[in-house]
Amino acid sequence: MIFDYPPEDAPIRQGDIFVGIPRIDISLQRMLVVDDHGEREVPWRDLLENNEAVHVIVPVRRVAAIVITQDCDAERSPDITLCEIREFRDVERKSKDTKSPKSWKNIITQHARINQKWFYLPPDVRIGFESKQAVDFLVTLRVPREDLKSLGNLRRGRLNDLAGKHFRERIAEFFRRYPYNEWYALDREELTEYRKEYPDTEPYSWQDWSGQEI
Amino acid sequence: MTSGNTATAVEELDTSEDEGQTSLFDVLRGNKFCGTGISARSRGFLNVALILSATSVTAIKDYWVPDTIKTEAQTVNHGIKKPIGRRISRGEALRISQEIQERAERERNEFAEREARGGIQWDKET
Repeated sequence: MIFDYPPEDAPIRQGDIFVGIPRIDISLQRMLVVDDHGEREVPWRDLLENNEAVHVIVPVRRVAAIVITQDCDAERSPDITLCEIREFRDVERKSKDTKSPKSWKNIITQHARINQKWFYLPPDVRIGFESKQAVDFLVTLRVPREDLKSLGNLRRGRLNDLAGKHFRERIAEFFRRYPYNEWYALDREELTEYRKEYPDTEPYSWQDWSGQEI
Repeated sequence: MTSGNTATAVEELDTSEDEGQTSLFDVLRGNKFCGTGISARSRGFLNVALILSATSVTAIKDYWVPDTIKTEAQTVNHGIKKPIGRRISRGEALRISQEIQERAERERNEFAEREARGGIQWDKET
């Protein structure tokens, strides 16, 4: 639908979709160090005293992912950064029970109105997407550029021109978000309603109406 | 090597007859050992030893002098000399690795659930 299918030897570009990319998970509380002494479980803070490289055991899962590195960097940079692609229903849990096209339409077109943490990818048999997918901007992966280039057969497709431009802007918007507490401008009644849903909310100084009459 | 020289000097001082009254700084100032019964040959040896130890004293890091080598030297000298952390078997390491992965995925799902509870509920809105 919204994809192109570049040849294996085409240069790596932003919006390229790869399968079988390693996603590594680590725990800073439980680093699994391997050295001449065997295997040990060590909190990362205990390894900070020396600056030498350590070797660790990490779990690796093969995932689909999309290149977010800009085209110019993708030509020269030693590393390529990608974002994981997952089932849309897992990334946007609002859609877990969504069935009707009308509801799907509302969810998918949120992009135009809301700065989401995901980018929608429709099903595509040729790429291997049997169901709706989403780029999860929260999960980034880094792989060596030359190694990725040598695995051209793992590239299953690329966003087409329109989707590519949209993707580029969405990445930029996601990473330049201004972090703020969304309740900061709520008035007394709105904040009361908000706190019913989020009891831990700490009002700002200008939201202290304790000295005022109702 | 320099610390070895310092140890030699201290050892020599301990064998002197002043029963601990002579400090290293006294020796460096040259106002001790007169009439202590130490032979000229021994004194000569001590001088050599103390010169070396003094060299090592001046070589300690001066915080007001920028030292570009300092960081490198610390890096080299602070390697893992003895195992730290809890020793585990390969099997346990693999089991923990699996737990780390499961936890990471569980936390991602929980985060997605929390996010979904906030914001616009599209089904309700329509």
